[in-house]
Amino acid sequence: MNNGMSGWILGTILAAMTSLVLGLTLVWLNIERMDIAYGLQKLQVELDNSAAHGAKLELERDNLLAPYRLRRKAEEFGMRPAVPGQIRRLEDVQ
Amino acid sequence: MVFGRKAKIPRNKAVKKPAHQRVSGRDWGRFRLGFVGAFFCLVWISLWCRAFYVQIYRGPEFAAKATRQHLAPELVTGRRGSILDRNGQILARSVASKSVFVRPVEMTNVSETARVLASALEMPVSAVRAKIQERRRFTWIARKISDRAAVTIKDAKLPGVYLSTDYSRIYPNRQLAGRLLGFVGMDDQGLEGLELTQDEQLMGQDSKYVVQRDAAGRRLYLNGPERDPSIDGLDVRLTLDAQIQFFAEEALAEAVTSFEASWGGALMVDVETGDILAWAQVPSFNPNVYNRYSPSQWRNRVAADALEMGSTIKPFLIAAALEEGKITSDSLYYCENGRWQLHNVRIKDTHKYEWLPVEKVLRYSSNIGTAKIGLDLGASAYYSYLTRLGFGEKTGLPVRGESLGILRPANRWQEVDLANAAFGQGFSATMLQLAQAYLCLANGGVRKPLRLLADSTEHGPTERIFSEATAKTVLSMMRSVVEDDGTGRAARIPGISVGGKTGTAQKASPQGGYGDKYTGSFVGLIPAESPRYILMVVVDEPEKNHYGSVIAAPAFRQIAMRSMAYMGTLPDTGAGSTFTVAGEPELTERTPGVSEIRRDVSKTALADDSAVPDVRGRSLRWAVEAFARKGIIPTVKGDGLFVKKQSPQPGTPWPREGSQNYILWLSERS
Repeated sequence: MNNGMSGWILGTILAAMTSLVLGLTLVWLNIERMDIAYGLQKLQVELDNSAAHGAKLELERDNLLAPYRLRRKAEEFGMRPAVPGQIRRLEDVQ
Repeated sequence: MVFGRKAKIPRNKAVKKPAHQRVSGRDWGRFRLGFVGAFFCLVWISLWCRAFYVQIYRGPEFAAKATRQHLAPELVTGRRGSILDRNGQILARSVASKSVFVRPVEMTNVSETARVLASALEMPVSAVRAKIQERRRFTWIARKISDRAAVTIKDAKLPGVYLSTDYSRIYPNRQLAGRLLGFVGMDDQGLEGLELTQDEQLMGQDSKYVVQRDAAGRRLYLNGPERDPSIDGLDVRLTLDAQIQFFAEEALAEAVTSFEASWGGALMVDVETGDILAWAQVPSFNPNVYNRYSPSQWRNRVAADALEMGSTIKPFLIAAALEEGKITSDSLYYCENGRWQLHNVRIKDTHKYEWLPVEKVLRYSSNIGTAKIGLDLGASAYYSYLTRLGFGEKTGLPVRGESLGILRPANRWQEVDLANAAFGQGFSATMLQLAQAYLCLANGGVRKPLRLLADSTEHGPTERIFSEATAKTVLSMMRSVVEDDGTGRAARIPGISVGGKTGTAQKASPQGGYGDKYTGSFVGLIPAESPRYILMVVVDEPEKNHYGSVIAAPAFRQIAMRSMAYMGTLPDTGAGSTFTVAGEPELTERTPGVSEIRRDVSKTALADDSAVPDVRGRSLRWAVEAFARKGIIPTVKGDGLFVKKQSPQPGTPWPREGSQNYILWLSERS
């Protein structure tokens, strides 16, 4: 009878301890989850900003390489469109 | 025991409790214990009741409140797709930008807020103040502001001032293909051009998400990614080539300006695929600032304006007559010495001709000869060919406001109408329709659709209109227009056989009949015998000259040469000097094109022409150019774009021709 009782008590204590550990783990996991969520949010903002910045830089590159702009720059440097007799292709000389 | 009074207890004696305390009176210990127990029970029961009340009775209500606090709906709009050229170069793209709005009721210092906003946005303070003082819950101050202004406003941390994210549509090449691309409105919806016709594909979708947020209102990503990339609009890839488009626009602008025309259009088509490589219209239109143009200037005339095309129609008449067996290329027609009265209409040629074979009727563009061929062919047969070539119907390209042209039914044609239609007067067509018809001829007589969207899977009708032999005969005649003594000599390109047809059409007057306005045009095929490209130039209402051979053919030549140089198919004939045509006085009036001014590389590449230059450390291009000026193609060894070592050594006299190997050793760095 005593053995049975002490078994129950031991079981109860173990169950209580397990519940406590699980509860604490749950709390810890939730804290971690929130922490990661904040981290994710920060990273997502960074990603969005970087993507937007990248898109703007690409656009700026395209703007700088726009044919009309290149044409103006070429004129500034005294360049003209090549005509037959002035064109050499690298593959021709390799 | 006496409460409240201290009993006198003798020292060094054991304290004895009075006996009557245990046996008499009430057991206060039990009472206290019971009281505490009851109190705790009451508290416990209260807690349970409260828990029941909170969790069960009002649970759903509180849960809903909590959800409202923790979760927030968020409307996310997908990014609008980009428009690209055939090589992936961006023609239109949306980028995130900020818009600023205010909630006036939340403001503490209106004057200061107005001053800061006005300064950041470069707006008058009075304008900002007026918007703020509207006393509405929400007022836009400025949409799609610059990044610099957004940062300034954000850093100012003004109460009641908020920034939201929008998308701005940017056209990085400015006016390049501006009218074709069209533009979008403030809310990124297509309003004109391809932006409108392809709006469904380009437009991003709205998607509503529920996101968790903390006490500060920050969105948290607890349930996976919020944003679904599939809500973004799809890109549209065109068949245009941005470089060729630029060449076309530039040459066209030169022609329109030089001859003081009202507008000009150019189309370049790849025969093999039907791809439109260039779609130019001048005066230009910059969609970045579309509101600076009047709505009439938004018009895409290449598709929307139907013009009487004039002599560029003649090849189709001749092809139809050949196909029907009414003529052969050797059939002779009397051209009436340049003047012919048909009923009450006088038909004229620019030069006096008597008997001409059909081939020369086309070469010299005789209206009288063509009219007689038309009369021999008959109205119904000619009309049938025109409709089968696509005149009188839309091409089906995804452009706004495409015109059908005007092609009256054959049963309403008088003999004079037929004669007029034979040389391209009396019925009108768009440049697209004309390009499509030429595509059929260049494609060996099989009609195929034009293509503007590179990823389009739709295929239009393909139908054989002319036999291959007929198409070949007409192409050969068109070659003589340019390469022999025809009207299109100004379109010749050294080293390439070019076919083409000039057109000079009188325009109908609003008062009736024909006035003094003209449309000059040229349609060229490169190369003539088996065309790879069709290039069409139309210049409308020029003031200084109106012949297609003078105003449109040089522009064709300029576009074709530069495009072929760009594509690497321009033969290096060395004959790049200004091309002139002897015996064609009107050509001397034209302004030389930009490409016709040769660049003198002798001074830049060679300081001393008598000795081998020092090209070490120079770019490969520079070095090759320097040697090329002496007619020498050096051998290149190694990888890289800069010359590391050279042979012969710099400064040594140029060896005799053929007696020396010229070697350039390359490196990656200069």
